[in-house]
Amino acid sequence: MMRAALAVAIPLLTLASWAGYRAIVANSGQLIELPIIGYDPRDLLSGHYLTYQIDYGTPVCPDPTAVADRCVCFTVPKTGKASVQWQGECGLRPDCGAWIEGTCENGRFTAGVERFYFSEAYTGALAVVPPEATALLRLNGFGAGQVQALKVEGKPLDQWLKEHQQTP
Amino acid sequence: MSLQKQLQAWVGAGLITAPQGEAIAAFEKRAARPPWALYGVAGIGVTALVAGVISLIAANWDGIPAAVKLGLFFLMEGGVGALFVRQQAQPGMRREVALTLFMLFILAGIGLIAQIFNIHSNGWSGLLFWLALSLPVTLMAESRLAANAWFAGLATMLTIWGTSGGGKAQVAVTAGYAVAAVGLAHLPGLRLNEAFKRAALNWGMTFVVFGLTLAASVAWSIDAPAEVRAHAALPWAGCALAAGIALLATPPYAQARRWRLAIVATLVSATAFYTLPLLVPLGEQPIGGAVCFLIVWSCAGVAAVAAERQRLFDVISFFIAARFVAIYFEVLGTLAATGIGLIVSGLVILGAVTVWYRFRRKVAALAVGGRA
Repeated sequence: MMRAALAVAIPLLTLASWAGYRAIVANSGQLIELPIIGYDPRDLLSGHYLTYQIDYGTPVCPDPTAVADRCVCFTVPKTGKASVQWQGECGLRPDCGAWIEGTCENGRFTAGVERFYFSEAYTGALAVVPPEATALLRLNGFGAGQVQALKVEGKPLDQWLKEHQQTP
Repeated sequence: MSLQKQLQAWVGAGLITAPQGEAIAAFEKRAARPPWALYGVAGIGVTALVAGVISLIAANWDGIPAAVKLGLFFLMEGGVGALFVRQQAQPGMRREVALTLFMLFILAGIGLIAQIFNIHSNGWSGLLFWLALSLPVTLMAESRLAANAWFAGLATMLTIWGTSGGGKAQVAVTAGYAVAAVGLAHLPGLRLNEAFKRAALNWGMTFVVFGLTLAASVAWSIDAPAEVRAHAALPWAGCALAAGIALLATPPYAQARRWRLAIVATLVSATAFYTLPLLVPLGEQPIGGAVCFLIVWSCAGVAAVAAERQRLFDVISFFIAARFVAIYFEVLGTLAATGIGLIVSGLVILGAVTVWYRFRRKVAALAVGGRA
């Protein structure tokens, strides 16, 4: 009985802790806004999530053949989009308030914030990354980021989708 | 043959009396195993239920707040888990259905949390997370579905991870041997659920016999450059682990020694078949590859015979026959030449089988004092 109870409790507690941690990150940490773009139309829509690339405004991966960890520091204005203050090897990172850690692979920098889920009801309205789209990220201060929301033309994505959804 | 028919045959042959036959039938009925057909149908229901829940989650209902989605999930999962804990001392379908639903819903929960918080996955890390969380409860399963689902997840995770580059393929291959070792282990003090061990043995040996020989056949048929020699050491290390376990395991089968030796022969021949192109630039050697393929699968066939698994032996025989036919098409090309070659080979094989069968009967007769 004890063994069965542990076998059930451990996964439940672990999942609850993980969800709780993610909820804390989503509601705390520094909020920054960055522009997003898409490179490969095939990757833009997979299932019911949108994959995209963050437009850092400057090349983050100097060597397109190497696989390496990189860090990016941001300057965060009170309103508007953040801009890259510094980027390079994580071991050389200066003491910057808002930063994110990721990996360079095949010349592309990914930091685990390049995906956003949306309802299947809006697949007709979302074929490519809309122009002037931005991502709102929460940075936890330890190099990890979490996508809070996407915005298009200054509006939250779900609101923009409702306005642009094709009628059957 | 069913037990009833066997008992009738034994009573008819005078081996046991009718009252003894009835006593045996009554004993077996009391210790009866769960009806496998019923479990199979229940497994279909469980699979459909879980697939439906995952599809609902994937649809990402926008109108439901995240907190409600998570609350409903934990309520449902907690309820299924509580049902399992209550039933865990009573073997039966309810226990197994609750256990299997619980372990599969863990995967749905991981997907739900990833969807709500937009967590970017590389494909294999979510599966690895599920494998770790579901292992304790899977080890308590008595049904095959839960154990096979777990190993299917492991195989999928290793495939995604192993094909992501950076020399991970050989580590994934070695993990396949480790799975076979888990299935082969009958060591005192190592208590693993029988369903789990059986699934491990099936998946591990399927990987070695089918997966490795498929990869090796391709490598022998193309002029591929040899990899760094160190990468071939990992599969051999895995082979040594599994073979060592097979030789040290407590034999549960009647023909234990023959089975263990056949398993070791299968492991060693498959590893040699797979690693030789890594170590030596062979060039295109389709005939050599085909011969090695037949050697590996023949060892597997001997192991199936030793374990008295007739259906498995039938499947292995089919693949050996198919590969045998394919060799002739690869070498001779035209249908006419292939046909003549196959007819000659078929007659040779039938002749060898006939001679072997007659020779075995005479040897057995000599062994029991000349009775034919």
